[in-house]
Amino acid sequence: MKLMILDKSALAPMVNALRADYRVVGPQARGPQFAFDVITDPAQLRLDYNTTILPPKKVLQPQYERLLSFNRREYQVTPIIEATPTVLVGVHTCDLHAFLLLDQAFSREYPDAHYLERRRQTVIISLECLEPCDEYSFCRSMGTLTSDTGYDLHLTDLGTAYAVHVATETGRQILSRYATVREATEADVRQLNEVLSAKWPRFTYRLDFDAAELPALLGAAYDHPLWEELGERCLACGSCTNVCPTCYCFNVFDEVDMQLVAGERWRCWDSCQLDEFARVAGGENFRKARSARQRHRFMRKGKYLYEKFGELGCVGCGRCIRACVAKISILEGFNAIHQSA
Amino acid sequence: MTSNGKPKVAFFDFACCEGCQLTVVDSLQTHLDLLEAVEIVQFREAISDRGEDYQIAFIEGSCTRQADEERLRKIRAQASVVVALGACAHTACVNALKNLHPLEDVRRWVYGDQAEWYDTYEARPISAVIEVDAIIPGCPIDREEFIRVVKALLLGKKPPLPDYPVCVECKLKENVCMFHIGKFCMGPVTRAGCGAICPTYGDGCEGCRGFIPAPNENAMKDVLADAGLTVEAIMARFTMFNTYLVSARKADGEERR
Amino acid sequence: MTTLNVNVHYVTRVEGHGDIVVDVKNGQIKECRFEVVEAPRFFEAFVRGRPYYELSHITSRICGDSAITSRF
Repeated sequence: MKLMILDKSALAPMVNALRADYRVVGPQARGPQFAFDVITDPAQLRLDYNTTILPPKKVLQPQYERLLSFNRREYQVTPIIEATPTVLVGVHTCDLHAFLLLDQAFSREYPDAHYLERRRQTVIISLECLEPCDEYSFCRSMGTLTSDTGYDLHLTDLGTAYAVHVATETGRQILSRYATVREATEADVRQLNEVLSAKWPRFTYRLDFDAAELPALLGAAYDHPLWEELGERCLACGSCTNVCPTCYCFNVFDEVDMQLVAGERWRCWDSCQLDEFARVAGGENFRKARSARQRHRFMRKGKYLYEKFGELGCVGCGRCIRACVAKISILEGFNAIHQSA
Repeated sequence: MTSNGKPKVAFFDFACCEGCQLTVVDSLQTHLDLLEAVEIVQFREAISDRGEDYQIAFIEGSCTRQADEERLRKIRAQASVVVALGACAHTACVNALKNLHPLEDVRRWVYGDQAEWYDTYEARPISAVIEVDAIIPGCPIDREEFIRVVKALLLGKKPPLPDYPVCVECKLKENVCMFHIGKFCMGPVTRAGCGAICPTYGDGCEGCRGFIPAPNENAMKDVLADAGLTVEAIMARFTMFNTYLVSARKADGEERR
Repeated sequence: MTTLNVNVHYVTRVEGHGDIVVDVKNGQIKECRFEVVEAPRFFEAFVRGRPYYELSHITSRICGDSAITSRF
């Protein structure tokens, strides 16, 4: 892995140069919060953002997406794959870990052409977190405070410049074509190491136990009284899963024209927290109670996905805790289960 | 059906502002082909024809008079499909606010000595009088949703009615949550389908589309109380558009975990 | 001389319900009435006791289509 130095004053010219050939997506201010969006002016890019309302997952799996078009008269079905060459800038490492999990979800068993094509066309420039992004994040507990994979380029703020880890050939080409950089000196490497080791104590562990214990803990907590308690507080609004970087469930629906001949098949994000999510043909709803649905979410994040992909489904970004108007905290939930175990 | 195979459609209204029907007229701006798919035989607000032979009836407005019931039953007897068009027909909308007062007092307050000219009883959704096959919620309705319902009826499918709350559409738009900027919002318990239009433009949801099928009323009240609302203000939020539903839920003692 | 009895049982292509009754005898208009037969909604009565900040939201439903512009 090669280390380069990008002067901060060279960032805006780099973004502008990239915009000629790519859609550049990065964190921008949205009211008092932040959101990943298309950059039309480098001044919009806010690498000092804390976190975003929705995770950058939406770049790889958009909220709404066309899958195919059909014509009933001509018995014709045409796949639609909407992918644009994109540079995604400023991804925090928690979201990088989430991407690695999504990659597995969309490439195993039933490879998803739509996701995979967008993934292929997306260049990822990630960002090392040097301070906790906000009061809700617990990335250090979940082992996502850093990452040595999942990106093409990785930036670390050194004050007046960024240290740039070049991880892939794509990353190397991006730098050579679009950016003015220099090779890191020994002094730069020393400074980088200092910055990196200084950051860890700022992130306090939030989980009272080792996250590796989660699958076993949850395995024994299926009948835990916590679920009933959460069921009473939960509004079943689906915000927790909609802001989650590792949730990938979707619903599929058709839009037809007025002649009822031609149309398009769409998919959109879905949520296991919604009343009707688990209703199946015949009318049976096998997760009717809000308590059962909250339990399902905790199990997905701390147990089921681990069993499926070998990675925990929670990256500790804290978005679900912030988004919950009923103040349900997955962190407090995990800790409560540990405490009573 | 007409000889050309198009279903015949009629529009009716009861106590309402007729704005939802105006939205139907408005939807023709973007969906002119609607007129090729159906034949409108009666639509007082838009055409002069008064055809009584129809299969699909769109009814706007609440039932607020004993005398309206007969007209509603007549429509029901003729139509194979009855669609409640808009909040007044669906939930009785703000019309039901008068149910919170003695009706005699309500009549006198507005019409004084002529109060007895104006017959009225407790405002109710049309589903309280006749069976309803489909609902297009909202005050006013969303014209795209109206088109989707028409298409579903033409396809012989059950018209789609979102059973999830406004929060879903709001989050997918990546709006800043109203509760995060010190505002109040009924989004967590209100039926989606409006594209979270009020929060998108900076105003908390007022619940005009009615509640989701199993709203967690107690949790919603706790959230509003946490946000600083008094008990009276919380009840006002619940009753503004949904007095009829709140009373009905209370009567049913409906509560689901 | 003209004798005419006009009874328009609901006027079409307008928002709102109205009937027109015209009674002409020997060229003289005896009666000409526009009857508003709409079911009243009683806004003036039911806004009483509501929180002040709700009023523009409720009364703008006198015509819900233009609720947002009416609010201003």
